[in-house]
Amino acid sequence: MKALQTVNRNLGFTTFELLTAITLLSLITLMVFSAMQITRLTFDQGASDVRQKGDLKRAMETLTRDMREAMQGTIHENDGCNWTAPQNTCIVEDPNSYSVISFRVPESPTAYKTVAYLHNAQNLDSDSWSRVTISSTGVESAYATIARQITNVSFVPASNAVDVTITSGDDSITSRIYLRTASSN
Amino acid sequence: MSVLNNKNHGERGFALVWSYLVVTMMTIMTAAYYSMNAVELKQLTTDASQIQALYLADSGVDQMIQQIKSGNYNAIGDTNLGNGSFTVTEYDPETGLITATGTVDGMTRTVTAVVEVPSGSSTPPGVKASVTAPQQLAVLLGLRIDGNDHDSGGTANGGSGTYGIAYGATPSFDGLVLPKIGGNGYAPAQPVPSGAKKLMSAEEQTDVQTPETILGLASNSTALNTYKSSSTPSSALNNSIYYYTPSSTGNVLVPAASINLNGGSGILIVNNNSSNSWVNFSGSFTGLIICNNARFSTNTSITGAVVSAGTNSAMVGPLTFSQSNYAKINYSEEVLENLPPISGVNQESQTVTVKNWADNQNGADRLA
Repeated sequence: MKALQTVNRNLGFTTFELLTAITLLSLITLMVFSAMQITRLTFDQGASDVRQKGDLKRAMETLTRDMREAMQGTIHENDGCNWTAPQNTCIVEDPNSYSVISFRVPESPTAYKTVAYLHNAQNLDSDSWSRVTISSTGVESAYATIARQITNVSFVPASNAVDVTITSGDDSITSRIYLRTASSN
Repeated sequence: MSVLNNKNHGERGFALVWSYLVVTMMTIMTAAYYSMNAVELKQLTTDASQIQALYLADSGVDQMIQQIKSGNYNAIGDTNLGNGSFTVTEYDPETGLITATGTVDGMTRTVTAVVEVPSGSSTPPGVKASVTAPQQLAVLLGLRIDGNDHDSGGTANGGSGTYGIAYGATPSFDGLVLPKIGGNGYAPAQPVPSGAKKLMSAEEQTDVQTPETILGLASNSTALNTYKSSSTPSSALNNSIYYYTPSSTGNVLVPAASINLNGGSGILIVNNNSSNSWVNFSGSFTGLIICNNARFSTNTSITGAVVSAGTNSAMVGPLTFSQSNYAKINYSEEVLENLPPISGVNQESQTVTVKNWADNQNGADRLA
């Protein structure tokens, strides 16, 4: 009987053992979930950052390629120039709404078309960077969204060149772009 | 029983040890996650700097190309732009290699480009032969057209030069015994050697549309307006530009105007609103003549080239059967490379062709 009693007493857990096990399990669960949460947040942030940087790069790449074909000459900035029919290059910046840079590129050996890039264009998503072309005969293309998450775009004109800064979140890239097509006069 | 008791005592606390092991493993795994995330975040920051550095390096290449166009081949020192800087460490005129580096937050990217810079001045793009016409061309009577190269004095210098005639459409007419046409090493002859004449491609024709395109200006350029006059030049041109706009068209028998070239030099343009005027030239001239249709008097001598800006063009020599009386048009590269500059035009001394633009990090050609 004494032996049996000893065995029965050892079949259960003490309060201390239970409390220790529960505490350990809680700690483990907390750590696992904490690690998972951090990983998920980092992954989301990383994916967002990758998208953001991709957008930045795409926004600058397309603008750079187009602008290097642009016609040289006076660069008009916030002087009432008409961006849909620019005389050489036209920059319109309205800090409360949108900004536009438009310029003329050769369409054929004897004609020019207008290429315009718009930030926060009307009727398009906020923070979008879009491109539109207007042919020499006035035919306007559809607005193509080149990039999203573009929070700011700024231009600093120089002689036959424009310093362009495109910002997305905390990241911004700047490039000096020279206009290469010889002036018409 | 004491054995059983001892056994139970020996196993007591194993769960605790096991738990400690699991907790330790979890701690290590969590620390690893933290570490990985930290590295990833640092990598993303680095990526942003790399992109910025790349565009700064591109800016350096772009600025160097602009410098080369204006004849400045000096390297570019550290230039601040945005939140970084760029520098052009090298331009090798032999190979045309430009090396530019962009730097942001200690991160650098290097971009190389290879450019082609033609040496010296070049002939106007609309000159494709000794006589060039955008569409059909008729060459008649006593005209001797030589596309072989001549010096500025009109003496053949042994160079094969270019074609005698170039035209944009057939049929073009260069027969009937009298006109002698040569070029590309062929002496002027009749019938015209096939190597001395050329049917231009559509792309080449675009250079021969108007006086502006012939001279390499944009088609809507207003730069030549300053030279326009409704009267013929009153004296010989002296390495200058003159643009005569006849008010009438005239015809082969009665041209709209007669111009004595009088030993002048430079660029003479005769072009009416419909690009179909007739003009008669006499005397000698060194330079480039741009006209619509022309008659050339006996012994007229042009050293340089003649280009027609008309639709269907005619070049008519004198009615003569003596070789010594032929009107002559002798191609001269030397003359065409030293034509007077056009006022008001942004004269870029060099035309730079970008052959390659590559990011050194992966060797990708950014022109592709």
